[in-house]
Amino acid sequence: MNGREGFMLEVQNVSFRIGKRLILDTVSTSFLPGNVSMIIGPNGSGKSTLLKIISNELKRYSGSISYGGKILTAGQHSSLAKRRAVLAQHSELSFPLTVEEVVMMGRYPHFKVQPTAHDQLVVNQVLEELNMTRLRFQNYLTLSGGEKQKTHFARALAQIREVPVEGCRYLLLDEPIASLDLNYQHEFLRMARLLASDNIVVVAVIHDLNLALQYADHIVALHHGKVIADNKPQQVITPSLIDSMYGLKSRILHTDNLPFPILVTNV
Amino acid sequence: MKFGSIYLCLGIGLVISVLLSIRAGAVDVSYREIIISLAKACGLHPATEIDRIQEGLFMQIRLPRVLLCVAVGAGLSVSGALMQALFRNPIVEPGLIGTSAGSAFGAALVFVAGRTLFIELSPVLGALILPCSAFVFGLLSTLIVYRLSSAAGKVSAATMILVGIAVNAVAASGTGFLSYIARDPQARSITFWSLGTFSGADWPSVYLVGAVTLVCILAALRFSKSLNALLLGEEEAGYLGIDPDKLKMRILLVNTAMVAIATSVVGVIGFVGLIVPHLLRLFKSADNRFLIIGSALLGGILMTAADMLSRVLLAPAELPIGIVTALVGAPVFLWILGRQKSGERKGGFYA
Repeated sequence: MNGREGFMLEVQNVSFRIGKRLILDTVSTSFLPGNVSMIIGPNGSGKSTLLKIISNELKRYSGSISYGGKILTAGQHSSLAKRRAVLAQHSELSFPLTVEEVVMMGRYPHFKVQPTAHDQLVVNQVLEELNMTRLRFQNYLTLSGGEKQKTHFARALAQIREVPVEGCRYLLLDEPIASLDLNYQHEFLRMARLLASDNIVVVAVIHDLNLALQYADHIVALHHGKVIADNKPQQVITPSLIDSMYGLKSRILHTDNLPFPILVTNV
Repeated sequence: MKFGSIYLCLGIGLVISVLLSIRAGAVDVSYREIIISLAKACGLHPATEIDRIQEGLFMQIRLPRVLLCVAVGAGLSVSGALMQALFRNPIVEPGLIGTSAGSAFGAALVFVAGRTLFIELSPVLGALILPCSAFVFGLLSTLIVYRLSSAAGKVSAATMILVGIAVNAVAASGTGFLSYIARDPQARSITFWSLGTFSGADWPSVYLVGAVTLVCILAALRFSKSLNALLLGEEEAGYLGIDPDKLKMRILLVNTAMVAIATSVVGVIGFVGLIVPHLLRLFKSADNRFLIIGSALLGGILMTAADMLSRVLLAPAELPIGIVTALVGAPVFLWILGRQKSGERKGGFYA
């Protein structure tokens, strides 16, 4: 645990309004490197808004976000991009780029005009690690939904490949698996776990509570813009929380040979 | 360099089209005359003499005209590539989004209304104020189209086309009005502003358009990385460390400068900026660095070829070049739209 707290991603008293509507109401929490943290909550609870504030996309909020003790300010676009990657739910890319070109975009914060040999090496390594080398020269637009999302995942990995001299790396995932099949969902979350073990702060917005129980180390539950639970998965996901967030009756089942419980809802 | 061979082919193509175009016209110029004239222009004293009239035709009319074609073709095509990246839509070109029509209006305004005012004041001021006015009105039109068709960082293609039609109509009617009230017999006709021509080419316009276009293309190349990132959407470009608002403003300025300077000299020439980046996309790449360099070369080739056609088809008479570019360009545009439609069925080639 030594030094982990020093690198943490901290959200302090963040509130955000659109017009008169309060989207986030004095949200405070923190995310540690080594953990897969997940943000859960019903639609409209402010999950994605919180992630956008953390990632420096939305700016007019009150409170503060700090990366490893340094408070985030609006002008940090380019320095932050070297150690913080964001994977959105889906990308609107509609031009015929190759997979390699899309992954190389992850290296954009690191070079000025032309990629260096090192940037090319990083892209090759990432493609190799994700078993995507065979897709390398394929047109992005001809890929399946899963392959497209995996390409963007590879881009995010290429972006935060190097451990910075100071501080650590941050990976923010906004409903990364919402439109993926079962196989891809597990593949993505396994990779997220692997990355967290490499001392990266991983924060994901997710809807599937069973996947959260299986893969998260830490869960923050948001409801009407407020944090209503912030703890280990099995402490957060309880029948009473499910009832108050979604108005659904549920049961938590424990089985002998599984290290995590299973949530069954609407029973 | 994976695009090296394509650049080489385009470069050779450009040299060939320039050579062919220099020769062809109402009067043909032979290669021997070209070489001797160029040698003389370089300060050499070739042993053989050539006809003075042929030399003058080549040096004062044909050569500047062909070079102007290369510069304007390159500028308009690079502009098309930049606007397609900025609007994240492959059917955008300066003619569609008001840049050309606005620039033409700005230029016509100075030409007709400002002529008496400024040129008598000082010829230098008069020469400068024409491209400046074209730039201001070109930028204004483009900004109107961009602002009205984008909401929350996304550009709606349907709104963009409709706003483009409206802005183009206003600018064109303004230009039409100006050329109608123009008393000056030298004032260029409505045909000039709407269809363009290279017949007024001279060395000062070559220097002016060439220098501005070159600087703008070099500047655009520096933005190619950021423009690629913008293909992902503004949000994600921001995550890659790019400030989308700053980038957009810079691209609009560079782009308008190129289009305005070209339009103020040769009028509105449509479809070139649309087709050239698309022909390059047939190489299955949307890398903006490739598109910018490739557009500059291919745009030069096509504009030179189109101008040559406009001179030889009805020789010794001359067609406005816009007739040629629209005649060739519009069918290609339809073909692109057809491809786009079938692409949507296959899962969105252009989406």
